[in-house]
Amino acid sequence: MRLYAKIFLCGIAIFSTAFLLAGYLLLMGAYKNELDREREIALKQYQYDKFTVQSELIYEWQTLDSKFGGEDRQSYGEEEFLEKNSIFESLIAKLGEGTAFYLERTRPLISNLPDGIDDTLVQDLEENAISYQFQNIGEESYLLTGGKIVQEQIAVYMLRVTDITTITERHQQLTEQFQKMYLAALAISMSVMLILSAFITKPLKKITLVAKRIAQGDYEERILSRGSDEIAELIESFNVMADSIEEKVEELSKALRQKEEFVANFAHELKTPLTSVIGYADMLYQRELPGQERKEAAWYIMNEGMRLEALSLKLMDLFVMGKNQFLLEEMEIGAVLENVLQGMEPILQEKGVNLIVKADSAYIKVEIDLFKTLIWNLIDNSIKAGSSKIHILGICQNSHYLIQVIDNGCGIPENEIEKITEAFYMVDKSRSRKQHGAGLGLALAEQIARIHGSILKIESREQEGTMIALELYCEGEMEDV
Amino acid sequence: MYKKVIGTVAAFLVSLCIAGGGLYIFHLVLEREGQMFLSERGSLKQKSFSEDGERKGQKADVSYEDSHVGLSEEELYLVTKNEEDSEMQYPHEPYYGQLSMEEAIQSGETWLKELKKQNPKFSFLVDDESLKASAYLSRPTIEEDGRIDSERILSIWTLDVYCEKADVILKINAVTGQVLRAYFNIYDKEFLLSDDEEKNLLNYLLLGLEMKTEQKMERREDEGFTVRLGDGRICGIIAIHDERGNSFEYSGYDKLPCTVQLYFSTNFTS
Repeated sequence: MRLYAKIFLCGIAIFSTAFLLAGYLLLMGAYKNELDREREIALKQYQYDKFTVQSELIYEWQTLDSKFGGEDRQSYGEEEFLEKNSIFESLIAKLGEGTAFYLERTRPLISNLPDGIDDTLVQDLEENAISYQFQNIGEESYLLTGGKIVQEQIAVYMLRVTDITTITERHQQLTEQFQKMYLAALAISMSVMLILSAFITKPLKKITLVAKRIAQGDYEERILSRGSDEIAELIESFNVMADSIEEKVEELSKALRQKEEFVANFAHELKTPLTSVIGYADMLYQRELPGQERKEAAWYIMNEGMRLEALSLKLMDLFVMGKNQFLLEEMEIGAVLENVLQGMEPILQEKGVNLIVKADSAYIKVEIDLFKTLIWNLIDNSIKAGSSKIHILGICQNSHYLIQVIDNGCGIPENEIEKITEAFYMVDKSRSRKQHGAGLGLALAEQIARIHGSILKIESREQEGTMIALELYCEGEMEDV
Repeated sequence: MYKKVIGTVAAFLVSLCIAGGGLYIFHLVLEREGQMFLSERGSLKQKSFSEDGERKGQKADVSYEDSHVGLSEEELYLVTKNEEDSEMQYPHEPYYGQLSMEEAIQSGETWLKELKKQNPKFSFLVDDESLKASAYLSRPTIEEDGRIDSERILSIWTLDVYCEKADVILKINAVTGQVLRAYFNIYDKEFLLSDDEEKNLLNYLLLGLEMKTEQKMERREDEGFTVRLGDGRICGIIAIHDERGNSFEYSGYDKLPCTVQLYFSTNFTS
């Protein structure tokens, strides 16, 4: 069953139960109150009627007393009194319709009770008590009140009937009116519930639709959230989830693209030296070359082989660094830089590059071999960029140590800076290849920086130079080196 | 799609069944409860002096002067105040210490006889024969357990006395038998009271009352005299409304067209 159908069903069930329960309590409460009130009035009226009967009996008896001298009441006892006296006829006339007198419980004296009235209540009548009984005869409803009246030497039972048909009729009318009201309210509430359930489930339908579209690849699809209720919160969460999915998908796409580019570049980088190697090897195999040419061919083959070896080593490094955990050791920066730069002097001299090192003395946390590779690659890049002067600066900044490698090489175009750390990316491919570059140096440096909890910050201006910086964790400043 | 339509139709039908079924049950329960109410039977016990054995109320055969003792000024104030303030009267059987109906009637009869002795103009009231009177006992508050003893003085016997030339209503205290109010409808064009007669009537009404404060009798601007206490409260009043000359008509009334309405009472008002 659909959610809106469930909401509709529950709404109608709750409405019906509440409405009918309230109606029942209201109608029955009102009906009972009216009957109680009517009973109170009838009991009160019975008491007044009893006083009237007693007054009449007293007067009649006193009249007899004065007639007979009042000396011997036994001489005109109860039977004679009742026979000679029409007091009860006059009392019936005085009290009106619905009165009955009984001499004994089974001996009616006079009665003008409505037809069909069950007068068995007379069996329960007692002195000093007023008995009552509700009776329903066909369409008519009555309330009987009665009691035993003892006055002078007379003891009679009196029954009085009060017609309460108007009360039961009014109750019936109220019940019918309530039923009509209920049906009208039910029709209205059904319409309202239909609209309401459709309104409540509308955002859920929208969420389902958008979820389907996202599943089909339309990751930019979002739902407009209104209000601050639970549905709005759900939409908000859904949108956050969609954002996250879109981001992840984008990342995965980018990674896939990079991988594809990587494979293509790798194949290309592999193909170029291999073509040369195959060509020169073929030349050596096919022809008898003079000594100088044979030497040159061998040199080409060796040179390209070395390029391939360097390429494979760097790829190995990149692969290994991506997988392994490294232990960083605390070392003094001066000693580290000395160790790093020691092996570079011949190359620097060969290229005629002036290297200036100025570093605040401090202890830094590094993996010495990786750090060495990092600095080597940065200086190598600067040399390849045609720099004549390279500055290595070390600045201690509280708990961080900033290392900057600044050169005055050809610089990097601004739009290339972001891609420079991607594997196999080369700004000037022909120049790089001539210098045995494979576009992996900065990618490797970036990876090492990450292992040290840092990233490479690159600033460059074409034909002016480049500054590459990274921050390392440091224990504290020492004397300048 | 087909399933959705079936589900919706089913929900609609089930809700209709719930609504209709609820109405049917409601109707059944209402009818059953109604029948139960209309078959109720019970009885209400009444407290009566006869339950308590010997009565300690005033005896009917004592003299009128003797009977007019009992209520203090404060009690009288309480009784008249309660009777005036209450909108409802609750009839009840005489409690222990209250006059029976016979005694109340006899007390009223004695009072009227005494009135006739005081002023012969009231000779039409009581003949040698017994009075034709109906009486009922009521109290201004609902009977509650534990309050009867302390408030039994609030009960009043009301006597409707029928004479040839007058209808009289007497309000008699149910404990002492003292007449607290008297309303006379006298169907006699010639009936007239002098100032002295009015004063005497008031004195007769207040007979036996032991007032702590000084009483002063004064004539009201309209008609009749009042007895005022030192603190300003009125404790007795006599008012005579002569219908003669008024446009008030007793059309269809089988007695005289004009009446003299005489009202006097112990009326403790400020």
